[in-house]
Amino acid sequence: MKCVIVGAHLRVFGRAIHAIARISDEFWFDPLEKGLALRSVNSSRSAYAYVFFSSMFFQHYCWAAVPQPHQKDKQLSPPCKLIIKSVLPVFRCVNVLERNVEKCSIYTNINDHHITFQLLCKHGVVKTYNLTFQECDPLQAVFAKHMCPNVLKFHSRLLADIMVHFPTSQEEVTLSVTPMKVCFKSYTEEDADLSKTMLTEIQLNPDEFDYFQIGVDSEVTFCLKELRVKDSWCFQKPPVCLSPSILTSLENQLLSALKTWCWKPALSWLPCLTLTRRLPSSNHLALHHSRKAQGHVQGKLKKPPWIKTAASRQMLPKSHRGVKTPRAQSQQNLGVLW
Amino acid sequence: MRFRAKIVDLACLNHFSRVVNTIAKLAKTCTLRLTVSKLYFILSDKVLNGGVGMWCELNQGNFFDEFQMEGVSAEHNEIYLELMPENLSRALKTAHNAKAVKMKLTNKHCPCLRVAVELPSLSSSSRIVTHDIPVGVIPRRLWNDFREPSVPDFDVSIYLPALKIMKSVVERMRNLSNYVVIEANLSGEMNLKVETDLVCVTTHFKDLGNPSWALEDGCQSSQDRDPESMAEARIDIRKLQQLLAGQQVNPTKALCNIVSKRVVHLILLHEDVSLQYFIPALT
Repeated sequence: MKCVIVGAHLRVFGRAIHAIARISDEFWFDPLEKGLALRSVNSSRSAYAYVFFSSMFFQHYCWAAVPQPHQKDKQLSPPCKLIIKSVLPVFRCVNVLERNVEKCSIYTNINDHHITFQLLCKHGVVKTYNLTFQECDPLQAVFAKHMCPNVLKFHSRLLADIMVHFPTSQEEVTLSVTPMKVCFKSYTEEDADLSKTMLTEIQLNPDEFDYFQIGVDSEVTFCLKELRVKDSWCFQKPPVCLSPSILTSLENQLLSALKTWCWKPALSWLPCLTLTRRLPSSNHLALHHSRKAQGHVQGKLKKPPWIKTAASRQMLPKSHRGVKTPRAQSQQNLGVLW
Repeated sequence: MRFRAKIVDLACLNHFSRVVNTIAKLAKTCTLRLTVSKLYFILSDKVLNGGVGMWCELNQGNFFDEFQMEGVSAEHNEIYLELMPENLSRALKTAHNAKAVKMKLTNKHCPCLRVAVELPSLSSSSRIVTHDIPVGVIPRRLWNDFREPSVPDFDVSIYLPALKIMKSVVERMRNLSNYVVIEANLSGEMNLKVETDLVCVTTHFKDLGNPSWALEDGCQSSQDRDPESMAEARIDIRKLQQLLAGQQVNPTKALCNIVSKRVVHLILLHEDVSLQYFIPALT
């Protein structure tokens, strides 16, 4: 795979890397036929980030399927896992990146297990970073996006306006939706001392959303920190899509400066979600919740919300019911969450 | 016991926010006393034992458009609540463009002061942000602990210099020592002194003016005191800095009463609000 990034897109790419860095120490670099996907999951498996840059984002994007001896039917290059710390220096000082760097080329060399980032800077300076990657199993968060009964689409400005009311120390927030209103409120543990904690609640009208579809009254609790990370990346104020299957996917349509083409990086953030590996032999990660989160996303991990929302669980169609026992899974099957 | 209040005017809201922010910088927990006409923020933390004391009085009419209060009983028509002013400050922080702010005393799981901020939004109906601030109701029998402190029998009373200047001087002095000596006389002179083993730094302020206080029996105070003689008190510089740095009241008058070697009594006066702060002297 070889691709070239120029101009303002350098900043976008750099920002994506920085945003992912706040989730985890490593990420999956997955070149696909249609574009480049970056994926990451935090150590407590409560947040999954997926950034997809379509081939039109790049000045030049060349991807060739490399036939692997052990994968006769699938001719995909396997994704590579990179340590974030080694990539961050490449995109340091994101805001001035496009001033100093004219072009960034990325090459992958599968046989050599190397990814090369080459920055062509001003005054003839060329910076080359050769990074080793680890071949690994693909990472994919499994969710039936199109089967979500509830979908909310709203401007990320709204998200920022909501989050500003919660103290920075607030770890978790509950979102409850009914067809009449949307409510974000601070979440406290059952055994917390209510006489010492300040609780905040924000009520919004459905009109505030660009798209509002509520099939099922539900309540979802998620980690506010992870949502804040996403917000820090949204400098273009794109619309945000949220559904109580706790999928947040965000589509950014940048039209302004790039008149020759338009591109759509899609960023999905899935806090508190089940992750399932595709390969049939492995165990499901299924419901992985540890009370002591490691890695730099701190805070106690919430039990996945579907355990709490008994009401919404009952109302969801059968195919959405929880996976109770690990089972083998074919590669085509998307799997089910609830 | 009932309490409901509403602020609609933005200027009043911002002013109230600033007062609450000042209180939040001075005390982690304090007492809020509500009467029919006034609100008080009180910290009566063992002044006699060396803690600071604070008394802040606001005229409710100058801030609230609606104010309804029913005290614990008819003869004692007041409410005393213990709360963390930081919570109230945080609740009001994001309300600078609010349409209205309503406050209400509720008792769902525990007594709370519910602050509901109505914010404008792009849609037809407003966005409502509700903050439930837990409060403690102080029983009638403890109300005596929160009486207004009387103005001490001071030796010198003097107007303070411009608070901004005083703040920057005290901030620099803080780097040298934890203690500062405030001394003043009746000729409008005030000195701030810091002494360490290596150095002694004094800042002199002149022509500050001395307020005249009429005593209750009609006589002028301290007439027989030598105008040049200084009354001094050595206090913890951090307490002084907390007040100067944190205050957002922007008083029209600021003065200081010094009881030699006992206490420094600072008064910040504003049309709508008055703040008194007592710092005990250390030996």
